Amino acid sequence: MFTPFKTPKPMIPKGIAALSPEETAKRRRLEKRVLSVVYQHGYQEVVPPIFEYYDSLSVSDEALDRAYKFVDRSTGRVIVLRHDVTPQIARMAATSLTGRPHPLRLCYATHVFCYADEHTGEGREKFQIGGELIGSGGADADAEIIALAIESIRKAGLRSFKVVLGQMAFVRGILQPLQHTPSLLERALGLIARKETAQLSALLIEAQVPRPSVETIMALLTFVGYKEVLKRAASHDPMVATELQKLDRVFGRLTKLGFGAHLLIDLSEVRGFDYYTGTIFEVFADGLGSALGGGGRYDNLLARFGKPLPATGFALNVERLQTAISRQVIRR
Amino acid sequence: MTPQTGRSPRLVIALSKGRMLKDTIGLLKRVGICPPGLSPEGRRLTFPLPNAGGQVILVRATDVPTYVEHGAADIGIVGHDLLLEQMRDVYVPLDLSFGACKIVLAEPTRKERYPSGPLRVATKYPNITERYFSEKGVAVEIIKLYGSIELAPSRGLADQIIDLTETGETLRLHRLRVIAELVTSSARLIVNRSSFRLKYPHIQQVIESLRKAALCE
Repeated sequence: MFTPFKTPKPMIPKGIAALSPEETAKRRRLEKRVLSVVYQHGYQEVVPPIFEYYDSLSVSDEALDRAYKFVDRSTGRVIVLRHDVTPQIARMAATSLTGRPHPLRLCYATHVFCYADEHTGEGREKFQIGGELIGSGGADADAEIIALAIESIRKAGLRSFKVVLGQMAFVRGILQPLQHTPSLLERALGLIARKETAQLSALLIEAQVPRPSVETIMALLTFVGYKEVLKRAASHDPMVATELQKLDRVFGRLTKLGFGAHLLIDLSEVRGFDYYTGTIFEVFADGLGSALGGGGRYDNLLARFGKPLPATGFALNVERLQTAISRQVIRR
Repeated sequence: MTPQTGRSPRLVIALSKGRMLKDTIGLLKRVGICPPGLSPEGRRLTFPLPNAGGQVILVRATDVPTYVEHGAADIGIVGHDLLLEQMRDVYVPLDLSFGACKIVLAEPTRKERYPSGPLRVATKYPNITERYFSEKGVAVEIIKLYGSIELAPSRGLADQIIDLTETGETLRLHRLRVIAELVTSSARLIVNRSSFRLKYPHIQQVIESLRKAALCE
């Protein structure tokens, strides 16, 4: 019987799941399908540790704020439960795996943990499958990773989804006039991320940003659409045209592979501004309110572990992928 | 590569009953996406849209951002105050200008006694209150209420309040005076991040027509 005034001690923490034999079987089938594609393309699986020292995994402060932390018994140092696999792989590539021929193709299938506020419907434990391509800086490598993500999703059985492409180096070029005022840049990034057009122009004018720069930054928010966006954006600022040429090559490559119908461009995507350095992407599907996966180029990360190497990667949230697939079936 | 052709996708629009619904209905009528029968009265919560497909749903104002963030609605209209309070991951492409009001800090015009201990502030915006006072470096005890905030100081529940005010009339009536204006609020259009991409370019066209209609007002 339900006793509304008694607060029971929950048997399991919030935001985690225990899967029944049937659910487990279904999940494992899905994982196998995705991994089969990744293996086929020559990606070798690695198993990174589940927790690490906080200071050696510091990549983005914002993400670390939401990570689960505790104190190491023996050293008294702070330990963080893995919230992102990419820095772990980057560290492995920069340390224990040096000396192997490049580019290095690595993949993983494992859990990440991230605090989520209560009653938001967000899980705190997520299962991710991802791949990292390390040591290759060209548009071909970007296209390979995105194609791999698309093929994996298709193999998993999802038909209707959109891959939204962005270019962080292009964004950085456009926002160059704000670089020397970090607080202004931070506020502008927040408004761009939320597409708050009117507030953005008010902020820039109030901060006395030169008019041509204001116009270029405001135009950024209109660079959404199909391939013609690249032409429109290039004509706006020739200084950043090289970055767009790279994205154009990625777009062409993916179209040639038959993935054109999945593609959309949104050059105003600024999530991960401090982390990504080039082509970025996110995957959206019907029936899901947020992205089920994504990734991009992170050429500055390996240098933190002592070995500057270009790198790009993707990660798929397996639970979300499964939800999207089941909702697609229901709809038909 | 190939823009989707054929029928435009169905849109689900989340609105709230309450002070902004009248203006919202006016706006939707001007752009021709107002379902017949949509009115602040009555118990109906869903209203199918005739030609464009999709529907309008009526939910609590505080729930509009939740519906949109989760993709249970594609777009919504909600006050800036609630967006600041909830900080949801949604697009906010339009300030619709109507429903203007202010979030203010107020205290009794005649203070009965000086408070001991930390300042107690009653509000329905605990997060905004938290951010405001932490920026000032002031320790506060926040008392979360769901309505009739103006009553809290006179009953000794709080020293100050942070609340929404349109004209300031209710504050004066309860012998409260504004000591700081935190932010100006108005109705905003919000859009789900996934819907914006999956229903592109249709959703972009809807945003543009709403932008024009809101400017004409």
